[in-house]
Amino acid sequence: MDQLRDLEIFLGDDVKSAELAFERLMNQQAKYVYSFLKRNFSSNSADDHEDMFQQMKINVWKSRKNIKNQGIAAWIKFLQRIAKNCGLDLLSGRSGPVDMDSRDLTDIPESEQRRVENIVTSLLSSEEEDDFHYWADLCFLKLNPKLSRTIHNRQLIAAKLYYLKSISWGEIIQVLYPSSEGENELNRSELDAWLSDPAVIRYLIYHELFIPCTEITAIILGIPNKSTHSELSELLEIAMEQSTTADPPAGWTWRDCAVVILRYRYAMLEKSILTHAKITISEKELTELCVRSDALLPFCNCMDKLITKFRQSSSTLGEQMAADRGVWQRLAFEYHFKEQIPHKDIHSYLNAPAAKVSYSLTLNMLNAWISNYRLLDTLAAYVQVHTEDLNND
Amino acid sequence: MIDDEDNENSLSPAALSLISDILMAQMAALENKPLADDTRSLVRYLCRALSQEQARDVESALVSQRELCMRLIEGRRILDRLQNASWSEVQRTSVGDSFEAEAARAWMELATERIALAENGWEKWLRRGWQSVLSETRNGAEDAQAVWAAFLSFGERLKVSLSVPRTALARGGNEDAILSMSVPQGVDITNIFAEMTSSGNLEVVANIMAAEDSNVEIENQSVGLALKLNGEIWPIGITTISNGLAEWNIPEVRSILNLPAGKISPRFLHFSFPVGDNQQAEIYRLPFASPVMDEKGRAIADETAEITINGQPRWEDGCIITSISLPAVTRQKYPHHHLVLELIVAEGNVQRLGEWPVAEWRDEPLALKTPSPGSPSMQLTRMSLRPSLQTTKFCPYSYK
Repeated sequence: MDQLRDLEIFLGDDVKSAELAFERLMNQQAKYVYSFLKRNFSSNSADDHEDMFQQMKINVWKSRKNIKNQGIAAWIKFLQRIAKNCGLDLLSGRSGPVDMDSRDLTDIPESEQRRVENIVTSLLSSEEEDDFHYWADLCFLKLNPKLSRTIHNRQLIAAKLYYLKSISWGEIIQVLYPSSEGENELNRSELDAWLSDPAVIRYLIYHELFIPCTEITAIILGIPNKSTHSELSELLEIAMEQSTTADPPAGWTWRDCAVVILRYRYAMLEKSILTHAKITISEKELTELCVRSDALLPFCNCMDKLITKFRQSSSTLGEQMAADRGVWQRLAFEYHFKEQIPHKDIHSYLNAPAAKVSYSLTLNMLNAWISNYRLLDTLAAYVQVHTEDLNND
Repeated sequence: MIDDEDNENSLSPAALSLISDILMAQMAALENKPLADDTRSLVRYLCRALSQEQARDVESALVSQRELCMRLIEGRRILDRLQNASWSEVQRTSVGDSFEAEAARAWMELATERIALAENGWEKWLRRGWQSVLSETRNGAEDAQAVWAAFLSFGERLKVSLSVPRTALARGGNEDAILSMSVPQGVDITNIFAEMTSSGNLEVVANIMAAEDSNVEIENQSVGLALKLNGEIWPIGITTISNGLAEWNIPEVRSILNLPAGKISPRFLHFSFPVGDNQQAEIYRLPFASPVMDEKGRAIADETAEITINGQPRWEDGCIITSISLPAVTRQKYPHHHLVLELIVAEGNVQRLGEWPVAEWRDEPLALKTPSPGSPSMQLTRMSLRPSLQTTKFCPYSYK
């Protein structure tokens, strides 16, 4: 892995090479550190995050001689800790001594350190940025690990076209890219095998039910679903600007629009909204607004549409797979790690559509899956087993 | 399978907490990459005009952007309509902001580009061989893709001809009468054995002898092998003559062109000395036999009609101008058919340029003029006879 090699060079005796390796390491980790800073110092400005990041770089370089190479997991954790200290220093106005302790795996039993390093390395291993999504798909949806990600994507596209759009098999084969070397030729029987594979159906259900927070917010406000994160940020700024002359999204006031964005895009808790400096809203008004917004959540519609489509295609497997625990675990995993929304919100999004297929998703289950690290433990074990398989192959 | 309720390899909470922190920071930083220029990428995806890597990017977008999947189908249907319309109609459709207009613009761009790049692709074919062109095609080299699409189109027609037992099976004996070769005088090619093997290769063995009274030295000479159909010739291999014997074992030909396994007639082969640039001229050999299509646009097995192109086609003012003669035998056999001129743009994607009734021809040639995205080389054009859908008017242009 390039990062590991760069880490060795960075900690080595050749200062010039170390400088170059350091720049590469910082470039690789910059967006993740920024993401960490935004999450931990969400009320600070982008300029503050930039200052924290720059200070972190200085501190890491200063502590170079004292860092012990414990692998990528320890390195990332170390960066996060230094970044957090820099953030706290900036907030308190102090300039404390640099924390030289780089031993970030010390809390972990020694017998586990190697495993943790291997798991993190696997999760972040290839050129693809979203390896964790891939591992999560394999683990929870039980996709065939022997097939490439390209084939999994083609299977999903074929399933979307067939089950959701009623496109004929002939037309599906015509539009999909031809197979690469070493792959089976896509013909009627291969396509039939894809479309009746329970894992492919789980993958389809997951993809239909996973709706990113930006999209959920756009749906509630009735604005184009393609709205991006930055467009919603701009809309929030306008909404909170008291003097705006522009019209709010149809059916909403600017204040309500701001609340919806804070609540559903940024997953801000209701009590935080009530104390927000730029929002004036009573508890009763907020409750009513949340009830109105919750009624517009798209999950039940998505599940109804899926059930209808599965019935139209005479597939009994579809509804069976919609009640598969793996689908709901995959959804919970994504909402927790990617969208980072509270368990209660995950529950309020998913319990009603789950009930439509007689799957009982309780808050206790979600807490066990997420707070007790059950999902992560399952993923870690899966990654470990399958990485060993790959190495043995 | 690992059950989360009963995981014997559980990590400690501290270890899981650390992994959780790392995952949360990494995952939150990821944003879906939007597909650059949706419509252009979709059209190129549908036309197989991308590298495998670019195709993967489009597929990732198709997976993550839910509305894009239906666009793929809509795009295919638009392309089907455009490809069966005239080039002028494609140009008219390209005006505006609709998805159809965007798709037409993307299709026009691709067609124009392919015409410009095909010559370069053909050059590569002759100099580096077809395997190199295939490899570059897979890596997304557009000039290679242009000529590869033409080769695949040739393969489709060859498959139809090979599927007829009478012609597909070697009839044994010497087939000199139908043997095609560009060899020095006094050189004979005999005892040709050719087979598409079950493993997908093309194996050819032939005796190559120089007459005793000729001064030709053939031992250790290179000799080229090409696939041939209706005057169209595609070089596919070179070998060296050893003890009067030439052997070719060309991998993947059958599997790539999806041809049937079994012996093939030497009439589908062409032999040449020396190999290289001289073979380029072969592709322009005229007159040639054009395939005859059925009402659904499928080539009728082993049915061809003679057509003569008088000189190189020209391209002026956005139109391709070609002088075509149809001999009496063709006119008599297909009085109700039309001559269709098409441009091979990409794998499985052909633009109809013009269509003219056979009944309009007499003994003298007719000048055909029809809008075209450029001046295509002969490999990129396809002429066939078929029952008509629409007719392009004859131009008043006098072909000189």
